Amino acid sequence: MLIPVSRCLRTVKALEYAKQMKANKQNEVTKRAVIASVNTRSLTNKWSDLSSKLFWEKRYANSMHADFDWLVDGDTIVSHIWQEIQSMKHISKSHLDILDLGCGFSNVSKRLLQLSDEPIHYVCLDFASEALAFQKQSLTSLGLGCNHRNSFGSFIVGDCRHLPFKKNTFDVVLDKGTTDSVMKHKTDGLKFAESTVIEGLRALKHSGILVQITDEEPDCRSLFLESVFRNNGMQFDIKYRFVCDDFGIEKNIFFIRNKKPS
Amino acid sequence: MAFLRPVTNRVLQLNKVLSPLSVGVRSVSSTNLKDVLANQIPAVQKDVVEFRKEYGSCKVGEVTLDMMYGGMRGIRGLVTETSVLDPEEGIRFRGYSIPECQKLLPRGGKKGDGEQMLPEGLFWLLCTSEIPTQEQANSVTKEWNERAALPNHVITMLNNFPANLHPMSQFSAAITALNSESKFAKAYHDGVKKGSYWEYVYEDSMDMIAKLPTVASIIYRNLYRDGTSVGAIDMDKDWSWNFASMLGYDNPDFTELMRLYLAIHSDHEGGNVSAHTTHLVGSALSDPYLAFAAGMNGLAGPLHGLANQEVLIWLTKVQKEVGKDVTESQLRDFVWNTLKSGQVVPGYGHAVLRKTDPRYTCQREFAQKKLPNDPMFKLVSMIYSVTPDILMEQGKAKNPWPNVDAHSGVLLQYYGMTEMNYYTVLFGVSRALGCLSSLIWDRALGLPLERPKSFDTKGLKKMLCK
Repeated sequence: MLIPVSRCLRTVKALEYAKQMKANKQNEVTKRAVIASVNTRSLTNKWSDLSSKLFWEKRYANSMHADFDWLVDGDTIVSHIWQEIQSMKHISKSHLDILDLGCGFSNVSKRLLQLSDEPIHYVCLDFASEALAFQKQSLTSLGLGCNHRNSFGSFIVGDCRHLPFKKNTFDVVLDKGTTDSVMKHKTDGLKFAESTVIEGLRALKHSGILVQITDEEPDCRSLFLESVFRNNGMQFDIKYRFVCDDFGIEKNIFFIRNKKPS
Repeated sequence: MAFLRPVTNRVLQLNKVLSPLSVGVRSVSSTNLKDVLANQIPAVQKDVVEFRKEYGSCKVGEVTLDMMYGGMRGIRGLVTETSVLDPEEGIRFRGYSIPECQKLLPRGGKKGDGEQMLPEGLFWLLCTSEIPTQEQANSVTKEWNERAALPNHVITMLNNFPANLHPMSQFSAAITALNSESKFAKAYHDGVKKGSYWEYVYEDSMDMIAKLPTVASIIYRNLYRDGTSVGAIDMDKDWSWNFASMLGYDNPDFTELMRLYLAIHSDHEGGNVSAHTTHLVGSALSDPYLAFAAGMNGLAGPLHGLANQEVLIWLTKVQKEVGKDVTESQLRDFVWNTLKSGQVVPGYGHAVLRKTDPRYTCQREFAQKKLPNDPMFKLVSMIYSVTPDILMEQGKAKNPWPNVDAHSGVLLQYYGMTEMNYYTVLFGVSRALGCLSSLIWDRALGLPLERPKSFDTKGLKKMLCK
C-alpha cells in the first residue's frame, strides 16, 4: 500500500507528459489549419493567362506576333537539337517524325524544314487554331524552300495534355515553353504540367527524345521531372544544357530519353 | 495515502503505454535549447546511420563535364538540414515556408504582441525543427543578451581600422579575431571526445550570434556616426531591438524591419557561397569563428551578397534619369531600353521559383503598410510590375519573378540607413543564424572533412575523348 516516492514522481511526470502530448496534438491541428490558410497560390492574373486557351486565341488572332519565338529563337533551337536529329537518321526508317507541342508562331518549324537534308514529317500541334493557320501559311509558302522534297508539315488542333496520337509515334517531341505555360494555371498548374510531360512521353518512340526549352531554374525543372517519373513508375534519363542568357533570364534545353535500351 | 492508490493505478496503466519514453526523459517543454538538442541528436544520428546503411550506394544524380566547369551547378553534393528551397513556396526553414513562419513563430514586443517574428524563434526552429513557444524564444533572447560582450582586443581592433576599410572586411576580421574566445578550439586542443564536439560548437555559435550585432554596430558607428558609443544592451529587450538601438535607430518600425530582415535572410539551403564555405571550413574542424568569418568573406563577393546594394544603386540611377513622377509608359521605355542594350534589371533573378519569392512579398507587404507613399517604393512597385510584362511581351521569359533584393535597400534607406556599403553586414548578421545552426548539426552528425575530387582538362579529355 505504500507507494515508493520514486514511483510517485514517475507517475507525476507521466501525467505531465500525457498532458503535453495532448496539447501538442491540439497544436498540430491548429498548425495545420494555419498552414492551409496561409499557402495561397498568389499568381497575378496576367501570368495565369499563359495557361488559358482564350488568351492564346486572342493573341494569335493578332498577327503582329508573326514569327514570334518564345524564350529562344528558332535558329538557336535548331542548332541545339541538330546533333540529336542527325544521330536519329540511322535509327528511323524513311523520315523523322517530329511533334511541336504547343507550336504557336514559332520559327523552329520553318528553319528545320529549310535545313534538314533528311525528310522530316513535322507535326504542329496547338490548342489555338489561329496558331496553326499561321504555321500552315508559313510552311506552305516555304514550298521549294524545304531542303528535302519529302519533308512536309501537318497541322493538328489538340490539347497537349491529351494528345490525339497513338503511343510510340514520334522521334522527337519539342516543348518550347509549353510546360512553362500550362504550369501557370492558378490551381492545377502542376497537374497540367505533369500531364503534358506524360503525354509527350507516351507519344514518343522508345528511341525518341523529349526536348524541353525552359527559363525555369534547371534544378527546379529536374526535380519536377524526376517527381513525374517517380509518380508514374517511369525510367527516363534527364540531361540539360545552357542555351542563352538574354535579358538576365537564363534558358536551358532539356533532353529526356528512355533509360533502358529497346 | 489511500486515495493515491486508484489515481496512481490509473496513471500507472497509462505509464505502461508511455513507459519507454517516460523514464529519463528531460522535460519536453524545456526552455534550454542545448538540452532540447541533446535530446534530439542521438535519435537523428541513429536515423541517418540506418538510412545510409540501406540506401548508401544509391545514385542521386549525375555529374557532367559542363557541371564541372560550371561551378558545380546542378551537382547534388551536400546535405543541409536547416532549409530547403521549395519551387512552389520558396525557402522552407525546417519545412516551414516564410508565410507559415510569420504566422506560427513567436513575435517581438513586450508580450509577443509585436508584428514581426523574432529571429530568436527562427534560430530555435532551425536548430530543433520544432516551432518554439514564446518562452523558448525568450530564453534564446536571454542567452544572447548575456553573451553579447566583446573582448577588449576586438573593440580596440575595430576602433583602429581606417575609414576606407570596407565594412565587410572589418566584420570578417573582427569575427576571426573573436576566436580567442572559442570554446571549441580550446576543447579540441584539450582532446575532448568527437561525440561532444557539437556542444562546443553550440556554445561558440550562441556566443558569436550574441556578439555579432555589437561588432556590426561598432563598425557602423565608427564609419558613419563619428565613432559614437553603441551604448549598453537592454536585458529586457530582444536581439533585434538591441541591434537597432546600438546602431542608433529608435524608430519602432525600424526595429520591426530588423526582426523581419534578420529572419528572412538567415538561411537559403546549403549550396550558396556563405553557407557552403562555413560548412566546408568547419569540416576541417576550424573553430566556428574561423568558419563563419570565411563564409563572410564569400558573402562580400559581388556575386553573392552585394545584390541589394546593386538594386538600390540602379533604382537611384533610374530615379535620376526618369525623374520623380515617372509615368508607367516612360518607365516601360526605360526598362525596355535597359534590357535591349544587354543590361539586366537588378533584383530580377532567373526563375528559381514558380511564383513570386515570399521574401520579396513579405518585404513588399511591410512597405505597403509602413511607407506606401515613399517615392522609391512606388518606383520599385512600378518597375517590378512593368518588367515582367515587358519580358512576357518580348517572349523572353515565362517565369520572371523579382527576388528578395528588390525591396530591402528601399526599406533600409527609408528609415535613414543610406550607407549602401553596409547592407551586406546586415545580411551577414542574419546569415549567421542559418550557417551556425547548420554547423552545430554538421558536428552532431559527425560529418567528415569535405574533399571532392578535381581533375585537370588533360585528364578529362583522356577520360572522355575517344
